Amino acid sequence: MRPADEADFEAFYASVWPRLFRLTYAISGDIGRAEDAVQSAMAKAFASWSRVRRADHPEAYVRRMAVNEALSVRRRAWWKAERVGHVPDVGVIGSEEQDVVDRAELWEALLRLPPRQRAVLVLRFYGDLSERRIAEVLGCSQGTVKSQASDALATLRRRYQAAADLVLGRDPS
Amino acid sequence: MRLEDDLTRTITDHVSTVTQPVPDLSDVLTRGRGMRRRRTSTALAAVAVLALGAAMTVRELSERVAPDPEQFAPVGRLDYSEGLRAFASPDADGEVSLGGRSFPVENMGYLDTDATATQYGLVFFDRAGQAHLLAQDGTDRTLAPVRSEQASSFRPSAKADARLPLIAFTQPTADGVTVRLQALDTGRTVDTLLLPCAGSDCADLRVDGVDRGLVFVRTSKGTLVWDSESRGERRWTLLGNGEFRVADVRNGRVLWADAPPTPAPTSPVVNWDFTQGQIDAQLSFDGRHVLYWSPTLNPTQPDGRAIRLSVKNAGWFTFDTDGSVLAATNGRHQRSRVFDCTLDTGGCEQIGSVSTESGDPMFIGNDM
Repeated sequence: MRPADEADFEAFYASVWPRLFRLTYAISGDIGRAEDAVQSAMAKAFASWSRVRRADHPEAYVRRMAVNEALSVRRRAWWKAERVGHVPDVGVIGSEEQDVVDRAELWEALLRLPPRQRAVLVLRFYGDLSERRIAEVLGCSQGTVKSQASDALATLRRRYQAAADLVLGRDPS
Repeated sequence: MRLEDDLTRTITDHVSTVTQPVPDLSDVLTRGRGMRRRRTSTALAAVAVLALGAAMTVRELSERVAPDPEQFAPVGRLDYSEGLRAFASPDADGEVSLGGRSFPVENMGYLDTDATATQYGLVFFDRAGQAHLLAQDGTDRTLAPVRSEQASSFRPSAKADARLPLIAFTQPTADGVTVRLQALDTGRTVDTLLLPCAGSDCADLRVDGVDRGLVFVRTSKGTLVWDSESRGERRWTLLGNGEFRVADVRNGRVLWADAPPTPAPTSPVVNWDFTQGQIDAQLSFDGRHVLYWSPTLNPTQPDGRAIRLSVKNAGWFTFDTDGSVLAATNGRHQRSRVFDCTLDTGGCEQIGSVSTESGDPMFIGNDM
Protein backbone atom coordinates (compact mmCIF):
# COMPACT_ATOMS: atom_id res chain seq x y z
CA MET A 1 0.00 0.00 0.00
CA ARG A 2 1.27 3.46 -0.88
CA PRO A 3 1.95 5.85 2.03
CA ALA A 4 -0.72 8.19 0.68
CA ASP A 5 -3.31 5.39 0.78
CA GLU A 6 -2.32 4.49 4.31
CA ALA A 7 -2.70 8.13 5.32
CA ASP A 8 -6.18 8.09 3.76
CA PHE A 9 -7.07 5.06 5.83
CA GLU A 10 -5.78 6.67 9.02
CA ALA A 11 -7.94 9.71 8.44
CA PHE A 12 -10.91 7.49 7.69
CA TYR A 13 -10.25 5.47 10.85
CA ALA A 14 -10.12 8.57 13.03
CA SER A 15 -13.30 10.00 11.58
CA VAL A 16 -15.58 6.94 11.69
CA TRP A 17 -14.29 5.12 14.80
CA PRO A 18 -16.37 7.04 17.39
CA ARG A 19 -19.61 6.60 15.41
CA LEU A 20 -19.01 2.91 14.82
CA PHE A 21 -18.13 2.36 18.45
CA ARG A 22 -21.32 4.04 19.66
CA LEU A 23 -23.40 2.03 17.22
CA THR A 24 -21.86 -1.34 18.10
CA TYR A 25 -22.03 -0.48 21.79
CA ALA A 26 -25.75 0.21 21.43
CA ILE A 27 -26.16 -3.18 19.75
CA SER A 28 -23.97 -5.22 22.09
CA GLY A 29 -24.41 -3.28 25.34
CA ASP A 30 -20.79 -4.13 26.12
CA ILE A 31 -17.81 -1.78 25.73
CA GLY A 32 -15.24 -4.52 25.16
CA ARG A 33 -17.34 -6.33 22.62
CA ALA A 34 -18.06 -3.12 20.75
CA GLU A 35 -14.38 -2.22 20.69
CA ASP A 36 -13.46 -5.69 19.39
CA ALA A 37 -16.11 -5.49 16.69
CA VAL A 38 -14.96 -2.10 15.43
CA GLN A 39 -11.28 -3.03 15.53
CA SER A 40 -11.91 -6.28 13.62
CA ALA A 41 -14.00 -4.52 11.01
CA MET A 42 -11.41 -1.78 10.59
CA ALA A 43 -8.61 -4.36 10.24
CA LYS A 44 -10.57 -6.05 7.45
CA ALA A 45 -11.21 -2.68 5.87
CA PHE A 46 -7.50 -1.89 5.97
CA ALA A 47 -6.68 -5.29 4.45
CA SER A 48 -9.01 -4.44 1.54
CA TRP A 49 -8.59 -0.67 1.59
CA SER A 50 -8.17 -0.28 -2.15
CA ARG A 51 -11.62 -1.85 -2.60
CA VAL A 52 -13.28 -0.20 0.40
CA ARG A 53 -12.19 3.32 -0.50
CA ARG A 54 -13.73 2.93 -3.96
CA ALA A 55 -17.11 2.01 -2.49
CA ASP A 56 -19.91 4.55 -2.89
CA HIS A 57 -20.04 4.97 0.87
CA PRO A 58 -16.96 3.51 2.62
CA GLU A 59 -18.39 4.17 6.08
CA ALA A 60 -21.55 2.18 5.26
CA TYR A 61 -19.35 -0.63 3.97
CA VAL A 62 -17.38 -0.79 7.22
CA ARG A 63 -20.49 -0.25 9.34
CA ARG A 64 -21.95 -3.41 7.84
CA MET A 65 -18.83 -5.36 8.80
CA ALA A 66 -18.74 -3.87 12.31
CA VAL A 67 -22.40 -4.60 13.03
CA ASN A 68 -22.04 -8.19 11.87
CA GLU A 69 -18.87 -8.56 13.91
CA ALA A 70 -20.79 -7.30 16.95
CA LEU A 71 -23.55 -9.81 16.26
CA SER A 72 -21.30 -12.80 15.64
CA VAL A 73 -18.90 -12.39 18.57
CA ARG A 74 -19.77 -14.97 21.17
CA ARG A 75 -23.22 -15.25 19.72
CA ARG A 76 -24.09 -18.43 21.49
CA ALA A 77 -23.33 -16.98 24.88
CA TRP A 78 -25.73 -14.14 24.11
CA TRP A 79 -28.49 -16.53 23.20
CA LYS A 80 -28.15 -18.21 26.53
CA ALA A 81 -27.99 -14.96 28.44
CA GLU A 82 -30.98 -13.41 26.74
CA ARG A 83 -33.37 -16.04 28.04
CA VAL A 84 -33.91 -14.06 31.21
CA GLY A 85 -37.44 -12.71 31.09
CA HIS A 86 -37.93 -11.37 34.57
CA VAL A 87 -39.03 -7.84 35.36
CA PRO A 88 -36.23 -6.05 37.22
CA ASP A 89 -36.79 -5.25 40.84
CA VAL A 90 -37.16 -1.48 41.11
CA GLY A 91 -36.95 0.48 44.34
CA VAL A 92 -39.45 3.08 45.50
CA ILE A 93 -39.10 6.29 43.52
CA GLY A 94 -40.61 9.71 43.27
CA SER A 95 -42.52 10.92 40.26
CA GLU A 96 -39.77 13.36 39.20
CA GLU A 97 -37.43 10.41 38.77
CA GLN A 98 -39.94 8.36 36.82
CA ASP A 99 -38.65 9.36 33.40
CA VAL A 100 -35.07 8.34 34.21
CA VAL A 101 -36.16 5.03 35.67
CA ASP A 102 -38.39 4.35 32.67
CA ARG A 103 -35.48 4.84 30.31
CA ALA A 104 -33.27 2.57 32.43
CA GLU A 105 -35.99 -0.09 32.20
CA LEU A 106 -36.25 0.38 28.47
CA TRP A 107 -32.49 0.06 28.04
CA GLU A 108 -32.52 -3.16 30.08
CA ALA A 109 -35.46 -4.47 28.07
CA LEU A 110 -33.63 -3.61 24.85
CA LEU A 111 -30.52 -5.52 25.98
CA ARG A 112 -32.61 -8.62 26.67
CA LEU A 113 -33.89 -8.79 23.08
CA PRO A 114 -32.34 -11.36 20.71
CA PRO A 115 -29.22 -9.79 19.11
CA ARG A 116 -30.57 -9.37 15.59
CA GLN A 117 -33.82 -7.84 16.83
CA ARG A 118 -31.80 -5.48 18.97
CA ALA A 119 -29.63 -4.58 15.99
CA VAL A 120 -32.69 -3.81 13.87
CA LEU A 121 -34.08 -1.44 16.50
CA VAL A 122 -30.73 0.28 17.08
CA LEU A 123 -30.12 0.75 13.36
CA ARG A 124 -33.67 2.05 12.89
CA PHE A 125 -34.14 4.30 15.90
CA TYR A 126 -30.56 5.28 16.70
CA GLY A 127 -28.84 4.90 13.33
CA ASP A 128 -31.92 6.30 11.55
CA LEU A 129 -31.50 3.84 8.68
CA SER A 130 -34.32 2.84 6.36
CA GLU A 131 -35.55 -0.76 6.24
CA ARG A 132 -33.73 -1.22 2.96
CA ARG A 133 -30.44 -0.02 4.43
CA ILE A 134 -30.90 -2.17 7.52
CA ALA A 135 -31.51 -5.19 5.30
CA GLU A 136 -28.25 -4.42 3.49
CA VAL A 137 -26.34 -4.05 6.76
CA LEU A 138 -27.67 -7.31 8.22
CA GLY A 139 -27.60 -9.25 4.96
CA CYS A 140 -31.28 -10.18 5.04
CA SER A 141 -34.51 -9.26 3.27
CA GLN A 142 -36.63 -6.21 4.04
CA GLY A 143 -39.33 -8.64 5.09
CA THR A 144 -37.03 -10.05 7.73
CA VAL A 145 -36.23 -6.53 8.97
CA LYS A 146 -39.95 -5.79 9.22
CA SER A 147 -40.69 -8.97 11.11
CA GLN A 148 -37.72 -8.54 13.46
CA ALA A 149 -38.73 -4.95 14.22
CA SER A 150 -42.34 -5.91 14.77
CA ASP A 151 -41.46 -8.79 17.10
CA ALA A 152 -38.93 -6.66 18.98
CA LEU A 153 -41.33 -3.76 19.53
CA ALA A 154 -44.07 -6.13 20.67
CA THR A 155 -41.68 -7.72 23.18
CA LEU A 156 -40.49 -4.32 24.40
CA ARG A 157 -44.05 -3.10 24.86
CA ARG A 158 -44.82 -6.13 27.01
CA ARG A 159 -41.67 -6.00 29.13
CA TYR A 160 -41.48 -2.24 29.37
CA GLN A 161 -45.13 -1.99 30.31
CA ALA A 162 -44.73 -4.75 32.89
CA ALA A 163 -41.79 -2.93 34.44
CA ALA A 164 -43.66 0.38 34.40
CA ASP A 165 -46.66 -1.25 36.06
CA LEU A 166 -44.42 -2.68 38.74
CA VAL A 167 -42.84 0.69 39.38
CA LEU A 168 -46.20 2.40 39.63
CA GLY A 169 -47.51 -0.32 41.95
CA ARG A 170 -44.68 0.32 44.39
CA ASP A 171 -44.83 4.05 44.26
CA PRO A 172 -46.43 5.28 47.50
CA SER A 173 -47.39 8.60 45.91
CA MET B 1 -44.36 9.67 24.31
CA ARG B 2 -44.34 6.85 21.75
CA LEU B 3 -42.18 3.81 22.42
CA GLU B 4 -40.26 4.49 19.21
CA ASP B 5 -39.40 8.02 20.39
CA ASP B 6 -38.49 6.70 23.81
CA LEU B 7 -36.14 4.23 22.16
CA THR B 8 -34.28 6.91 20.24
CA ARG B 9 -33.87 9.00 23.38
CA THR B 10 -32.89 6.05 25.56
CA ILE B 11 -30.24 4.71 23.20
CA THR B 12 -28.84 8.18 22.53
CA ASP B 13 -28.61 8.89 26.26
CA HIS B 14 -26.79 5.65 27.00
CA VAL B 15 -24.24 5.79 24.21
CA SER B 16 -23.46 9.43 24.87
CA THR B 17 -22.54 8.76 28.50
CA VAL B 18 -20.42 5.65 27.98
CA THR B 19 -16.65 6.06 28.34
CA GLN B 20 -15.18 5.47 24.93
CA PRO B 21 -11.91 3.49 24.70
CA VAL B 22 -8.90 5.05 22.99
CA PRO B 23 -8.85 3.86 19.37
CA ASP B 24 -5.82 1.63 18.71
CA LEU B 25 -4.78 2.33 15.13
CA SER B 26 -1.53 0.35 15.32
CA ASP B 27 -3.45 -2.82 16.27
CA VAL B 28 -5.70 -2.41 13.24
CA LEU B 29 -2.78 -1.82 10.88
CA THR B 30 -0.92 -4.88 12.18
CA ARG B 31 -3.95 -7.14 11.88
CA GLY B 32 -4.86 -5.77 8.46
CA ARG B 33 -1.37 -6.35 7.09
CA GLY B 34 -1.47 -9.92 8.43
CA MET B 35 -4.77 -10.57 6.64
CA ARG B 36 -3.36 -9.22 3.40
CA ARG B 37 -0.29 -11.47 3.64
CA ARG B 38 -2.44 -14.57 4.28
CA ARG B 39 -4.72 -13.69 1.40
CA THR B 40 -1.81 -13.29 -0.99
CA SER B 41 -0.38 -16.72 -0.16
CA THR B 42 -3.82 -18.32 -0.49
CA ALA B 43 -4.34 -16.67 -3.87
CA LEU B 44 -1.05 -18.08 -5.17
CA ALA B 45 -2.09 -21.57 -4.13
CA ALA B 46 -5.45 -21.12 -5.84
CA VAL B 47 -3.89 -20.38 -9.24
CA ALA B 48 -3.43 -24.12 -9.79
CA VAL B 49 -7.18 -24.81 -9.77
CA LEU B 50 -8.28 -21.73 -11.72
CA ALA B 51 -8.52 -23.52 -15.07
CA LEU B 52 -11.11 -25.99 -13.77
CA GLY B 53 -12.95 -23.21 -11.88
CA ALA B 54 -13.23 -21.06 -14.99
CA ALA B 55 -15.06 -23.79 -16.89
CA MET B 56 -17.54 -24.24 -14.05
CA THR B 57 -18.11 -20.48 -13.69
CA VAL B 58 -19.08 -20.11 -17.35
CA ARG B 59 -21.75 -22.77 -16.92
CA GLU B 60 -23.04 -21.22 -13.69
CA LEU B 61 -23.25 -17.75 -15.15
CA SER B 62 -25.39 -19.03 -17.99
CA GLU B 63 -27.89 -20.33 -15.44
CA ARG B 64 -28.11 -17.19 -13.30
CA VAL B 65 -31.53 -15.78 -12.56
CA ALA B 66 -32.27 -12.12 -13.11
CA PRO B 67 -30.86 -9.85 -10.38
CA ASP B 68 -34.29 -8.35 -9.64
CA PRO B 69 -35.72 -10.58 -6.88
CA GLU B 70 -39.23 -10.08 -8.26
CA GLN B 71 -38.29 -11.86 -11.46
CA PHE B 72 -38.27 -15.49 -10.48
CA ALA B 73 -36.79 -16.96 -13.62
CA PRO B 74 -36.14 -20.74 -13.78
CA VAL B 75 -32.84 -21.63 -12.15
CA GLY B 76 -32.42 -25.09 -13.65
CA ARG B 77 -33.05 -28.48 -12.10
CA LEU B 78 -32.32 -28.96 -8.39
CA ASP B 79 -31.88 -32.16 -6.40
CA TYR B 80 -34.03 -32.36 -3.27
CA SER B 81 -33.64 -36.14 -2.83
CA GLU B 82 -31.40 -35.69 0.23
CA GLY B 83 -33.24 -32.69 1.62
CA LEU B 84 -33.00 -29.13 0.34
CA ARG B 85 -29.53 -28.65 1.80
CA ALA B 86 -30.21 -24.90 1.71
CA PHE B 87 -27.57 -22.66 3.22
CA ALA B 88 -25.96 -19.36 2.39
CA SER B 89 -23.15 -16.97 3.06
CA PRO B 90 -24.00 -13.73 4.86
CA ASP B 91 -21.72 -11.86 2.45
CA ALA B 92 -23.24 -9.69 -0.26
CA ASP B 93 -20.91 -11.32 -2.77
CA GLY B 94 -21.29 -14.82 -1.28
CA GLU B 95 -23.19 -17.87 -2.46
CA VAL B 96 -26.47 -19.65 -1.77
CA SER B 97 -26.46 -23.45 -1.91
CA LEU B 98 -29.71 -25.22 -2.71
CA GLY B 99 -30.44 -28.73 -3.87
CA GLY B 100 -26.80 -29.47 -4.60
CA ARG B 101 -26.14 -26.31 -6.60
CA SER B 102 -24.72 -22.89 -5.83
CA PHE B 103 -25.87 -19.45 -6.89
CA PRO B 104 -24.64 -15.91 -6.20
CA VAL B 105 -26.46 -14.47 -3.19
CA GLU B 106 -27.23 -11.31 -5.15
CA ASN B 107 -29.31 -13.32 -7.63
CA MET B 108 -31.32 -15.18 -5.00
CA GLY B 109 -32.14 -12.31 -2.65
CA TYR B 110 -35.70 -13.53 -2.31
CA LEU B 111 -34.51 -16.63 -0.45
CA ASP B 112 -33.59 -16.03 3.18
CA THR B 113 -34.26 -17.37 6.64
CA ASP B 114 -37.80 -15.98 6.36
CA ALA B 115 -38.54 -18.48 3.59
CA THR B 116 -39.87 -21.92 4.52
CA ALA B 117 -38.05 -25.11 3.57
CA THR B 118 -40.38 -27.97 2.60
CA GLN B 119 -39.86 -31.40 1.05
CA TYR B 120 -41.21 -29.95 -2.18
CA GLY B 121 -39.00 -26.89 -2.28
CA LEU B 122 -38.60 -23.45 -0.78
CA VAL B 123 -41.73 -21.43 -0.12
CA PHE B 124 -41.16 -17.69 -0.09
CA PHE B 125 -43.19 -14.51 -0.41
CA ASP B 126 -42.79 -11.78 -2.98
CA ARG B 127 -43.20 -8.09 -2.22
CA ALA B 128 -46.93 -8.33 -2.89
CA GLY B 129 -47.25 -11.02 -0.20
CA GLN B 130 -47.90 -13.85 -2.64
CA ALA B 131 -46.56 -17.28 -1.70
CA HIS B 132 -44.27 -18.96 -4.23
CA LEU B 133 -42.72 -22.42 -4.39
CA LEU B 134 -39.27 -22.90 -5.90
CA ALA B 135 -39.73 -26.50 -6.99
CA GLN B 136 -37.19 -29.21 -7.74
CA ASP B 137 -37.45 -28.57 -11.47
CA GLY B 138 -36.10 -25.10 -10.79
CA THR B 139 -39.29 -23.26 -11.67
CA ASP B 140 -41.31 -20.85 -9.57
CA ARG B 141 -45.00 -21.52 -8.90
CA THR B 142 -47.36 -19.02 -7.34
CA LEU B 143 -49.22 -20.92 -4.63
CA ALA B 144 -52.07 -18.47 -4.17
CA PRO B 145 -52.60 -14.98 -5.58
CA VAL B 146 -53.27 -12.06 -3.26
CA ARG B 147 -55.18 -8.94 -4.21
CA SER B 148 -52.59 -6.20 -4.15
CA GLU B 149 -54.69 -3.61 -2.29
CA GLN B 150 -54.83 -5.96 0.70
CA ALA B 151 -51.19 -6.95 0.66
CA SER B 152 -49.42 -3.60 0.94
CA SER B 153 -48.58 -3.62 4.66
CA PHE B 154 -49.20 -7.25 5.51
CA ARG B 155 -46.39 -9.52 6.67
CA PRO B 156 -47.14 -13.12 5.71
CA SER B 157 -45.81 -16.22 7.44
CA ALA B 158 -45.73 -19.94 6.68
CA LYS B 159 -44.88 -23.31 8.21
CA ALA B 160 -44.69 -26.76 6.67
CA ASP B 161 -45.76 -30.16 7.96
CA ALA B 162 -42.71 -32.41 8.28
CA ARG B 163 -44.53 -35.61 7.29
CA LEU B 164 -47.51 -34.58 5.19
CA PRO B 165 -47.16 -32.55 1.98
CA LEU B 166 -48.85 -29.56 3.56
CA ILE B 167 -48.00 -25.94 4.10
CA ALA B 168 -50.03 -23.34 5.98
CA PHE B 169 -49.62 -19.66 5.28
CA THR B 170 -51.42 -16.41 5.98
CA GLN B 171 -53.09 -14.13 3.48
CA PRO B 172 -54.73 -10.75 4.11
CA THR B 173 -58.43 -10.35 3.37
CA ALA B 174 -60.92 -7.52 3.83
CA ASP B 175 -62.17 -9.05 7.10
CA GLY B 176 -58.91 -10.13 8.67
CA VAL B 177 -56.40 -12.84 7.81
CA THR B 178 -57.11 -16.11 6.07
CA VAL B 179 -54.99 -19.11 6.96
CA ARG B 180 -54.63 -21.30 3.89
CA LEU B 181 -53.69 -24.96 4.13
CA GLN B 182 -52.33 -26.13 0.80
CA ALA B 183 -51.13 -29.47 -0.56
CA LEU B 184 -47.68 -29.01 -2.06
CA ASP B 185 -47.78 -32.23 -4.10
CA THR B 186 -50.97 -31.37 -5.98
CA GLY B 187 -51.15 -27.60 -5.57
CA ARG B 188 -54.71 -28.05 -4.27
CA THR B 189 -56.02 -25.87 -1.46
CA VAL B 190 -57.06 -28.25 1.32
CA ASP B 191 -59.01 -25.64 3.25
CA THR B 192 -58.99 -22.05 4.40
CA LEU B 193 -60.17 -20.51 7.64
CA LEU B 194 -60.58 -16.84 8.44
CA LEU B 195 -59.13 -15.30 11.58
CA PRO B 196 -61.02 -12.05 12.17
CA CYS B 197 -58.67 -9.21 13.13
CA ALA B 198 -57.99 -5.56 12.48
CA GLY B 199 -54.97 -3.26 12.34
CA SER B 200 -51.91 -4.30 14.32
CA ASP B 201 -53.63 -7.49 15.51
CA CYS B 202 -53.45 -8.75 11.92
CA ALA B 203 -49.79 -7.74 11.65
CA ASP B 204 -48.89 -9.75 14.78
CA LEU B 205 -50.47 -12.92 13.47
CA ARG B 206 -47.98 -15.71 12.66
CA VAL B 207 -48.19 -19.38 11.71
CA ASP B 208 -46.02 -21.10 14.34
CA GLY B 209 -46.47 -24.73 13.33
CA VAL B 210 -48.21 -27.38 11.24
CA ASP B 211 -48.38 -31.01 12.28
CA ARG B 212 -50.66 -33.86 11.22
CA GLY B 213 -52.65 -31.25 9.32
CA LEU B 214 -53.32 -29.13 12.41
CA VAL B 215 -52.32 -25.48 12.17
CA PHE B 216 -50.94 -23.45 15.10
CA VAL B 217 -51.28 -19.68 14.83
CA ARG B 218 -49.99 -17.01 17.20
CA THR B 219 -52.11 -13.91 17.68
CA SER B 220 -51.72 -10.92 19.96
CA LYS B 221 -54.15 -12.53 22.41
CA GLY B 222 -52.89 -16.11 22.40
CA THR B 223 -52.06 -19.16 20.33
CA LEU B 224 -54.87 -20.86 18.42
CA VAL B 225 -55.20 -24.28 16.82
CA TRP B 226 -57.22 -25.25 13.77
CA ASP B 227 -57.95 -28.88 12.90
CA SER B 228 -58.92 -28.81 9.24
CA GLU B 229 -60.21 -32.38 9.38
CA SER B 230 -62.46 -32.01 12.40
CA ARG B 231 -66.14 -32.63 11.91
CA GLY B 232 -68.77 -30.07 12.68
CA GLU B 233 -68.09 -26.39 13.07
CA ARG B 234 -64.88 -25.11 11.54
CA ARG B 235 -63.23 -23.10 14.30
CA TRP B 236 -60.14 -22.02 16.16
CA THR B 237 -59.49 -23.30 19.68
CA LEU B 238 -57.26 -21.60 22.22
CA LEU B 239 -54.08 -23.45 23.17
CA GLY B 240 -52.40 -20.84 25.35
CA ASN B 241 -52.79 -17.27 26.47
CA GLY B 242 -50.40 -14.32 26.48
CA GLU B 243 -46.81 -15.40 26.91
CA PHE B 244 -47.32 -18.99 25.74
CA ARG B 245 -45.29 -19.66 22.60
CA VAL B 246 -45.05 -22.64 20.27
CA ALA B 247 -41.40 -23.26 19.40
CA ASP B 248 -42.07 -26.31 17.22
CA VAL B 249 -44.63 -29.05 16.62
CA ARG B 250 -43.74 -32.51 15.30
CA ASN B 251 -45.40 -35.92 15.43
CA GLY B 252 -47.99 -34.99 18.01
CA ARG B 253 -45.59 -33.19 20.33
CA VAL B 254 -45.63 -29.46 21.05
CA LEU B 255 -42.36 -27.83 22.10
CA TRP B 256 -43.38 -24.73 24.03
CA ALA B 257 -41.67 -21.76 25.67
CA ASP B 258 -42.24 -18.96 28.18
CA ALA B 259 -45.63 -19.95 29.68
CA PRO B 260 -47.34 -23.37 29.87
CA PRO B 261 -50.17 -24.26 27.49
CA THR B 262 -53.76 -24.19 28.69
CA PRO B 263 -55.71 -26.32 26.19
CA ALA B 264 -59.44 -26.65 26.74
CA PRO B 265 -60.79 -30.19 27.28
CA THR B 266 -62.29 -30.01 23.80
CA SER B 267 -59.03 -28.91 22.14
CA PRO B 268 -57.88 -31.16 19.28
CA VAL B 269 -54.43 -31.33 20.91
CA VAL B 270 -55.48 -31.94 24.50
CA ASN B 271 -53.99 -35.44 24.38
CA TRP B 272 -50.81 -34.46 22.60
CA ASP B 273 -47.41 -34.44 24.30
CA PHE B 274 -46.04 -31.12 25.55
CA THR B 275 -42.35 -30.42 26.17
CA GLN B 276 -40.92 -27.21 27.57
CA GLY B 277 -37.97 -25.74 25.70
CA GLN B 278 -36.41 -22.62 24.25
CA ILE B 279 -38.22 -20.59 21.63
CA ASP B 280 -35.41 -21.14 19.11
CA ALA B 281 -35.17 -24.90 19.64
CA GLN B 282 -36.45 -27.47 17.12
CA LEU B 283 -37.96 -30.95 17.39
CA SER B 284 -36.78 -33.93 15.36
CA PHE B 285 -39.43 -35.12 12.91
CA ASP B 286 -40.41 -38.00 15.22
CA GLY B 287 -40.69 -35.55 18.13
CA ARG B 288 -38.25 -37.56 20.22
CA HIS B 289 -35.30 -35.15 20.35
CA VAL B 290 -34.66 -31.44 20.73
CA LEU B 291 -32.03 -29.60 18.70
CA TYR B 292 -30.73 -26.48 20.40
CA TRP B 293 -27.46 -24.86 19.32
CA SER B 294 -25.49 -28.02 20.07
CA PRO B 295 -24.36 -31.26 18.38
CA THR B 296 -26.08 -33.11 21.22
CA LEU B 297 -29.80 -33.63 20.75
CA ASN B 298 -31.53 -34.23 24.05
CA PRO B 299 -34.46 -36.67 24.34
CA THR B 300 -37.96 -35.41 25.02
CA GLN B 301 -38.87 -38.49 27.03
CA PRO B 302 -37.28 -39.56 30.34
CA ASP B 303 -36.26 -42.96 28.98
CA GLY B 304 -34.84 -41.54 25.78
CA ARG B 305 -31.15 -41.30 24.93
CA ALA B 306 -29.29 -38.27 23.66
CA ILE B 307 -27.93 -38.27 20.11
CA ARG B 308 -24.41 -36.94 19.62
CA LEU B 309 -23.54 -35.73 16.12
CA SER B 310 -19.99 -36.38 14.94
CA VAL B 311 -19.13 -32.85 13.98
CA LYS B 312 -16.49 -30.60 15.51
CA ASN B 313 -16.57 -26.85 16.01
CA ALA B 314 -20.14 -26.56 14.77
CA GLY B 315 -22.06 -23.57 16.08
CA TRP B 316 -25.20 -23.51 13.90
CA PHE B 317 -27.73 -26.28 13.43
CA THR B 318 -31.11 -26.89 11.85
CA PHE B 319 -33.23 -29.75 10.59
CA ASP B 320 -33.23 -30.31 6.86
CA THR B 321 -36.41 -31.30 5.05
CA ASP B 322 -35.48 -35.01 5.08
CA GLY B 323 -35.12 -35.05 8.88
CA SER B 324 -31.33 -34.94 8.92
CA VAL B 325 -29.44 -32.13 10.69
CA LEU B 326 -27.49 -29.45 8.87
CA ALA B 327 -24.55 -28.17 10.91
CA ALA B 328 -22.19 -25.29 10.13
CA THR B 329 -18.84 -24.79 11.78
CA ASN B 330 -17.58 -21.61 13.37
CA GLY B 331 -15.80 -19.92 10.50
CA ARG B 332 -12.04 -20.32 10.50
CA HIS B 333 -10.23 -18.12 8.00
CA GLN B 334 -13.64 -16.59 7.27
CA ARG B 335 -15.14 -19.83 5.92
CA SER B 336 -17.67 -22.08 7.56
CA ARG B 337 -17.97 -25.74 6.59
CA VAL B 338 -21.47 -27.20 6.29
CA PHE B 339 -22.32 -30.81 7.17
CA ASP B 340 -25.35 -33.06 6.75
CA CYS B 341 -25.75 -35.37 9.77
CA THR B 342 -28.02 -38.40 10.10
CA LEU B 343 -29.76 -39.03 13.40
CA ASP B 344 -29.53 -42.85 13.11
CA THR B 345 -25.75 -42.94 13.42
CA GLY B 346 -24.81 -39.37 14.29
CA GLY B 347 -22.48 -39.47 11.28
CA CYS B 348 -21.88 -36.24 9.37
CA GLU B 349 -20.84 -35.63 5.77
CA GLN B 350 -19.43 -32.31 4.58
CA ILE B 351 -21.66 -30.95 1.82
CA GLY B 352 -20.12 -27.54 1.26
CA SER B 353 -18.73 -24.39 2.76
CA VAL B 354 -19.58 -20.69 2.75
CA SER B 355 -17.62 -17.50 3.24
CA THR B 356 -18.43 -15.76 6.53
CA GLU B 357 -16.56 -12.50 6.16
CA SER B 358 -19.50 -10.37 7.28
CA GLY B 359 -21.43 -12.60 9.67
CA ASP B 360 -22.77 -16.06 10.41
CA PRO B 361 -23.68 -18.84 7.98
CA MET B 362 -27.41 -18.98 7.27
CA PHE B 363 -29.77 -21.88 6.78
CA ILE B 364 -32.29 -20.80 4.17
CA GLY B 365 -35.90 -21.54 5.00
CA ASN B 366 -35.20 -22.39 8.62
CA ASP B 367 -35.43 -19.57 11.12
CA MET B 368 -34.46 -21.13 14.44
